[in-house]
Amino acid sequence: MAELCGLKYEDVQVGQEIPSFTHQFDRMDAVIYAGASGDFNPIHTNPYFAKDVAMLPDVIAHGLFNMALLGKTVVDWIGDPGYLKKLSCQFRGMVIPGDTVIFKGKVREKLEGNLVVLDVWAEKADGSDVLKGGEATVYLP
Amino acid sequence: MVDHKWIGKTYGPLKYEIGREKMREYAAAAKDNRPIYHDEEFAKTTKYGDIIGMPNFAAVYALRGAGMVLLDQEIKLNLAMLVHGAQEFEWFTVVKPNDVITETGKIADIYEKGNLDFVVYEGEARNQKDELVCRSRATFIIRGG
Repeated sequence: MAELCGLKYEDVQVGQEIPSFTHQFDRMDAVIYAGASGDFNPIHTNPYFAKDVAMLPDVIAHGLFNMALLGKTVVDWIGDPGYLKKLSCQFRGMVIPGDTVIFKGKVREKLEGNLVVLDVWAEKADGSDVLKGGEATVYLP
Repeated sequence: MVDHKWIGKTYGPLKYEIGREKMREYAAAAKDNRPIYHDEEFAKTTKYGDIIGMPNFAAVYALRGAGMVLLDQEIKLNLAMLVHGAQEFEWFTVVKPNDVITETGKIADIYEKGNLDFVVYEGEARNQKDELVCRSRATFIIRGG
């Protein structure tokens, strides 16, 4: 059996940062995510609607797209997607085409039952918030 | 202000059949090409035996009730002023191709803070074996009260 998770609960330290994931948002990302998710709100896909009707600077990334990249960042660390037990976050900053977003996590607490709680968040290159107050709970063997 | 009488209003049951290519499409859209989401031959060598859905794929199979809240013609939320403020998913098992998910949900809370209205949806997704797959909690914020 191929083992997906290369981490061990006892090897994880409180305060440890997990590898970050960096993504530069492109307007095609939102078109593809709209199709995949079924969320066709034009603020994500139609720049004329976004600017002229919704008074936004441009189309903006789906919050749930950003959250999915946050989930990917945690799963990149743990290896086994089935070990991600909980993920939450607040949607704060808008992401427009060309913005670079960095997804991050840091171990907050180790619980009984081989559970590890992380603070997770996403910010732009200038440090402004994209996803804030996030929390991930993972199981580690 | 959103009338508090809608707290407790239920949505569903909503059925969703998990499709193999839809799982792959979602993972690819979320920039995740790990083999366990895409490659059946690889998946057969793991404990899962088949590809599994990316956890965040719950945005598709466990939030359809939230979409119904937004379009609820009795409540008539002001969509022009509405943003998705926060989201929480809790997973209990993985999803695989051909799983049939049943989502039931409710408006768990409505409250105000300053001139912001908050509407909270909570949903529960179960598979064809009646196993709990995912709990979701979506918080929507309506500006301007």
